[in-house]
Amino acid sequence: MLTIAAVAVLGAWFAMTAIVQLPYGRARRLRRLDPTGHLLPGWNFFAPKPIQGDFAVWYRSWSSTDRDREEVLDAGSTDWRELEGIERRRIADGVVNPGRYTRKSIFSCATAIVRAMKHLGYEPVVGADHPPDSLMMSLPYLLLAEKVTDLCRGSVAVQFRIDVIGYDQGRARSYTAFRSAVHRVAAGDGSR
Amino acid sequence: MWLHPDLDQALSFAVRLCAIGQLVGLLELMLVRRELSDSGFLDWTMIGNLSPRVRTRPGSIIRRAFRRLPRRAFTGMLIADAVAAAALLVWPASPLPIALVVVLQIAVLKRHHMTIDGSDQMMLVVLVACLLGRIGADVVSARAAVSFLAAELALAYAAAGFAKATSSQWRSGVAFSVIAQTRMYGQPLVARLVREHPLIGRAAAWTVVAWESLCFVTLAAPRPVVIAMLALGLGFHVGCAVVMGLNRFVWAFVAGYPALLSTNAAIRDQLGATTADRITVVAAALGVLAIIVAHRAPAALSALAARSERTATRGRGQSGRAL
Repeated sequence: MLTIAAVAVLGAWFAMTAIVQLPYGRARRLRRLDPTGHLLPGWNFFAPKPIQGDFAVWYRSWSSTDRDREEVLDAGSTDWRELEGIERRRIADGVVNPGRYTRKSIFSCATAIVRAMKHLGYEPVVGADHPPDSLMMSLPYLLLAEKVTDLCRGSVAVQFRIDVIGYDQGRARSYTAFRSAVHRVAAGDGSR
Repeated sequence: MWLHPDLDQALSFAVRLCAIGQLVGLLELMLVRRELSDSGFLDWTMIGNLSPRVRTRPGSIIRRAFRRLPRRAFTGMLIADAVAAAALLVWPASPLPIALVVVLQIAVLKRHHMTIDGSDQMMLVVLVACLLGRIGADVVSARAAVSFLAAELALAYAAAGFAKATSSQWRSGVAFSVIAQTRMYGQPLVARLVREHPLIGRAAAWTVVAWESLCFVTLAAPRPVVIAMLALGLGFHVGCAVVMGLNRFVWAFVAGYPALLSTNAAIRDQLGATTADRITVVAAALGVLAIIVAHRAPAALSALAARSERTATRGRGQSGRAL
């Protein structure tokens, strides 16, 4: 009995895996039948559209506010610093690649925010931005904001931005695709 | 034994290689344990902020459980996972540790949903298939599991290869060059080499497309062809590990190679060498034809692929699987 069940499950599983590889939305709906959410993967790695470039997350902070208005001034911020994690990799990553968690997290957060922004038709502006609430309450945004806040302990406000880096004949060209709101933080402990 | 594994050996090799991959993943997690603490990218007080209701019922249950699980208990869970994976190196045929590693891996995948990649999924697929093969405790179940692993591997490579063949960026070699230049998956040395010698990038891209698309012929091909194809596959994965940092793909995908060798031997025994050779030639010809069709009719196929990409993106939601 166990044998028949095992053979039947394996047969049905393979058939479903083959079907979800087809480029049709209906075929992919079969994934709803996967109890774990990971047993019917799409195997089209880096295809048809490979990775197009990199993301760089930059952040800056303010150590004081404008006395009169209790607001931060653009000129009073630190320089933009890059959030570490997506720096060049080591050859040793071929064996043990501990940086993949941080790298993939930053990449996933940046991808999700830029995608959501395009979906919402939101355009970044130069100064302090006010992204839609739905974006500011999303997990990728909160993760980056929390990370940046933690790195700027003692500051009164922080902001991050996401740059998209494209490559053309070896030359990197970047543009700012997203600018977060300026977030006030409780000075001293870095908590928002 | 390595080149002529029987059913038991094929399943045991697969389990052991996945166990090594699992241990490498846990070691990596230990090395970046700061990401598990406050304000880390894997801090559950943050990543658990999502609604516990997710697409699957086990996913919802696991998320709810993690909300109540203290950090120390999670560390204990990872230690249990490491012990179970180490046990698989010694007792690869025992269903209990395989089941334990499967359950713990699903839990960790649910918890670290933002950092999942194809190697995590392939390892899970291999381990679940091996578990089903061992549960039956007879030759039929073992044969079914080994055949499944071989077919799954062939399907995975074929899906990746034909998807690349439909892409103009892969056909022109641009894809390889762009990937090599990125900080995320590239290496400066390789990037410079490809930039200075674009033909190398194009040749590498076409080699990957051809090898992945035609890998399914190894199911019935003569032994020297199979060994050559699998050696190329091993080289491909080691290359991806060094250049792109996809180190765990080596363990996850090579885990299925003994199953492919075993299934190939069974198919050739069943059909006879001559018939198997004929089938191989026809399959290879059809594969080449499919690559040519994908190359010649890119517009229609790209539209289909783009539609599929959009659907997949919608389906993925916040999982952010980039591969």
